[in-house]
Amino acid sequence: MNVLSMLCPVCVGLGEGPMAQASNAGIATLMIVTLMVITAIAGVAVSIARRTRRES
Amino acid sequence: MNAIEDTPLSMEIPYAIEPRPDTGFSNAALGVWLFLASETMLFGALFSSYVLLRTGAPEWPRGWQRLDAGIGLLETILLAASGVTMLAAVRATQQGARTAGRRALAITAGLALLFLIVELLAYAAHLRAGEVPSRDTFWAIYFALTGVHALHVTGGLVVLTVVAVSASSALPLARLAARTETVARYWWFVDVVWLALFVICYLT
Amino acid sequence: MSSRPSRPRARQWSVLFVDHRVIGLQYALTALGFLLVGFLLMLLIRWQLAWPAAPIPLLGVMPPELYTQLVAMHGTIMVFLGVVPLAVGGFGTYLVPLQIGATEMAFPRLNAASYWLYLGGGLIILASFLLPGGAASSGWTSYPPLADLATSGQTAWLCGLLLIASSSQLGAITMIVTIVQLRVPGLSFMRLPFFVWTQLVTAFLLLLAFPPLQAAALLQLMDRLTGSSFFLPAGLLVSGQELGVSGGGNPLLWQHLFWFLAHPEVYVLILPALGMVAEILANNTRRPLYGYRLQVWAIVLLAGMSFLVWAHHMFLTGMGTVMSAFFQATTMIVSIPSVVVLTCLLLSLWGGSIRFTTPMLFALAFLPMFGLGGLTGLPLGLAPADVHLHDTYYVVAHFHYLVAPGTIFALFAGIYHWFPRVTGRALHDGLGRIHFAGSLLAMNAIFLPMFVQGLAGMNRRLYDGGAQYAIDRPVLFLHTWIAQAAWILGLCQLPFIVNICWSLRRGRLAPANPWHATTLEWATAPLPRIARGPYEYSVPDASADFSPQFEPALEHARELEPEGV
Repeated sequence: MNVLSMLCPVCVGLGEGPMAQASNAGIATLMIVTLMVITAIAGVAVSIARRTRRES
Repeated sequence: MNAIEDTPLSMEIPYAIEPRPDTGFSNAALGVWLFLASETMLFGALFSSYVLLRTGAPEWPRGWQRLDAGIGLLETILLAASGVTMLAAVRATQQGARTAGRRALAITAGLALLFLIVELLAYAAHLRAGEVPSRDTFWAIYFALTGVHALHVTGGLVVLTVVAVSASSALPLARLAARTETVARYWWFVDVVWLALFVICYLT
Repeated sequence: MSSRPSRPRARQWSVLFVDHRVIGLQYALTALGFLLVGFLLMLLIRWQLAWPAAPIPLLGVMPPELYTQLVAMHGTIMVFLGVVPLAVGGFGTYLVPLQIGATEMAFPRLNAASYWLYLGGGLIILASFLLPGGAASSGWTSYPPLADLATSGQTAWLCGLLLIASSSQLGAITMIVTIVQLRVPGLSFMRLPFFVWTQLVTAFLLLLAFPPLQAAALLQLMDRLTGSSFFLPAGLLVSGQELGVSGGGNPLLWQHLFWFLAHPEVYVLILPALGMVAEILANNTRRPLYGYRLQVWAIVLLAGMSFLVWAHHMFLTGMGTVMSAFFQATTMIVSIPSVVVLTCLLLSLWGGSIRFTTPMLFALAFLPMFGLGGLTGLPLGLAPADVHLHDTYYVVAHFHYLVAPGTIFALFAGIYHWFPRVTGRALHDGLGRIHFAGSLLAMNAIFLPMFVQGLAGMNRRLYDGGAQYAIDRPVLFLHTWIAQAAWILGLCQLPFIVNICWSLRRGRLAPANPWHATTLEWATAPLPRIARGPYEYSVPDASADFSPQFEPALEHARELEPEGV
C-alpha cells in the first residue's frame, strides 16, 4: 500500500475539491437546522423559567 | 358500572388538555411541539442530503426541466387550501361549533386525499417514463423527499379522519378542540415542509 | 357513561400494560436479555481472536463472514438493544414518575408503544442471524459502499433500526412531557434529583439526534432495494467489475448522517449513568452533591455541544483544514462539561462519611474508569493524533472503558440500589461484592491491553486479530490474555444472575427506605407489608406511642440498616 496515501488527508487531501465542498455544504445545512431547533428549545425553556418565577 | 374502570386514562393524568399554569403548556401541545422538533430534524437531514448531493454533482438539472411544475403548483394549492380549512376547523371547535368543526376536518382530510392521489398519479407517470430512483441521484432524492413527505401526509390523513369520526356528540367539546389543535399544528408543519420541497425540488 | 357492558378482564390487562412500572420492567428484562446475547457474541469474537485457527465447540472453525457478523451485531445489540433501553427505558420509565411524584407518565399508551417498537426492532435484528446471508456484517456503523452491497441481513438491520429509532422518539416525547408537566407542586426544576435531569437531557438527545439516522437508513434501504446511488460513487469496482448503478452518490453522506446520531448517542449512553452514580454517591456519602446547579448546566451544555462534534469520527475522510479545525475545536470544548461533572462527583466524596455498600462500590469504581475512558478520548479528538489511532484497538479500548466499567457499572450500581424499591427485597451483599471485585479486575484486564495494541497500530475488525501484519506481531499475545479475562468476566456475572434470581424469592425483606435516601421514590414501598394489628397505639416498651400496621417496628428497622453505618 502506498505510504503516501496513508498520510493525513487533511494535509494531502483535496480540501477544496468538489467532494469536500459538497460535504461542507451538507454539514452547514444540517448544522443550521440543528442550531435553529436547539435555539427554539432554549427559548421555550427560558419562557418556562420566567413563567415559573412569575407564578410562584 | 365500575366508575374506576370506565374512567379513561387521560382523565387521571393532569394537564392533558388544560395548560399547566407555570409552564403554559398542556401535555398534548408540548407533545406535538416536541414531535415537530424531531420531524424538523428528519426533513433537515433529508434536505442536507439534497444539498450535499447537488453541490457535489458535476451537473444537476433545474427542477422544472425534469418535473411538471404545474402539477407541483396544483399540489401546493391543495395543501394550502387544506391549511385554511384546518384553521377553520380549529376556530370552529374552539368556539364550540361541533358540526362546522367536523365538516372542516372532513374537507381538510378530503384535500389531503386529493393531494395523495395527484402525487401517486405523478409517481406512476414517472415510473412509466423510466424516471426511477435508480436512474440518477436527482430522481433518487426526489422520490426520497417527496416519498417521506407523502408518508407524513398519509399519517396526517389517518389522524384527521380519526378526529373527525370521533367528533360525535359523546366527545366533550374541550377534548375535541384539543385534538383539533394538536392535529392542526402537525398539519401546518406538513404544509410548510411541502412549500420548502416545492421551491427546492421544482423551482430551482 | 358508555352503554357498552364493561369487560373488566380486557380493561385491566390493557391498563396493566401501560403502567409505567410494568413498561419499565419490560424494558429492563428485555434489555438484560439482549445484553447477555451481546456478551455471548463477544466471547465468540474473543475466542476467534485468541485462537484464530482453532475450531469452536459446536461451531467449527469460524469463517471471516461469521466473524464480521458477530462484530457488527455485538456493537448493535449492546448499544441499541442493551444499554440504552436499560438505562432510559428501564430505569428512566420506572423511576422518573416516582421521583417527581407523578402517578403515571404523560402518555402511557405512547410509552407502551415505544416498548413494543423496541422489542419488534430488536427481534428483527436478532432474527437476521437466520437469514441465508446471515446478519448485518458491515460494523455497527454500516458504512457504504460495503453496507449497500451486503447480504439481506443488512436490510433487516436497517428496518430494525427504523423501528428502534421510532421507539426512542416516542419514549423521548413521553419522558420530556412527563418531567416538564407532571412534577408535583413544590418540585421545581432545581429541586429535581440529578437522575431526572439526566433523563430529561437524554430524552432531548434521542428526540433530535435519531431522525437523521432514520433518514440515512431510508436512503440506504433505497440504495439496496430500488437501486438508487445515494452512497455509491460512479465507477465503483466490485470484485474487478464495475457496479451497474447510476453513481453520483457519496459514501461520506452516510457517514455524516450516521455520526450525527451516533455522537449524541454516546452521551445517551453515559448521561443516565452519571445520574445514577450521582444519586448513589450522595446517598452513601450522607452529603449533598457538590455543585448540583453547576452539574445541571454542564449536562445541558454537553447536550447542546454534542450536536456539533460528530465529524471527529471522520478526520480521515479528507475534509479539508477548516472543517477539521472546526470539529477539533468543538470536540475539545465538549470535553469540558464532562470534566466538570466528574470533578463535581469526585468533590462530592470530600468530607463524606462513606458507606461502602455494594452499589457504592460500583459507583466509586465508575469514577476513575469514566475518567480514564474520557481522557483517552482526547487524542482521538485531535486530528494529528487520530491519524495514527483511528480504527485501531485504541478506539475500542477508549469507548469500552466508558461503556463497560463506566455505564454498565453504573447500571449494576443502580440495580443493587433500587432492587429493594422495585421488589421489596434486598440483594445478597456478599454475592454483590464478589460480582463487583471480579468484574472490575476482569474488565480492566480486558480493555487495558487494548490500548497497547492500538498504539502499536493494530486495526479493528480484523478477523484474525492482525496476525497477517508485522506491526501487530509483538502485541498479538495480548489477545489470549484478553480472551481469558473475558471468560473470567463471564464467570463473575454468574453470582449476579444467581443473586437476582434467588433474591427475588428468598431475599431478605427490605424496609421501606433501606438506604435512608432522600428522594421521592423512597417515600412509598413497592408493596405494603402487614406487620401487626390495626390499632397498636401506646404499646408498652415500644420506642414510640404508635406502631404502624404497614412497616416493621422502628427497632427492627435498625437491624436492617446497611452495613457501615
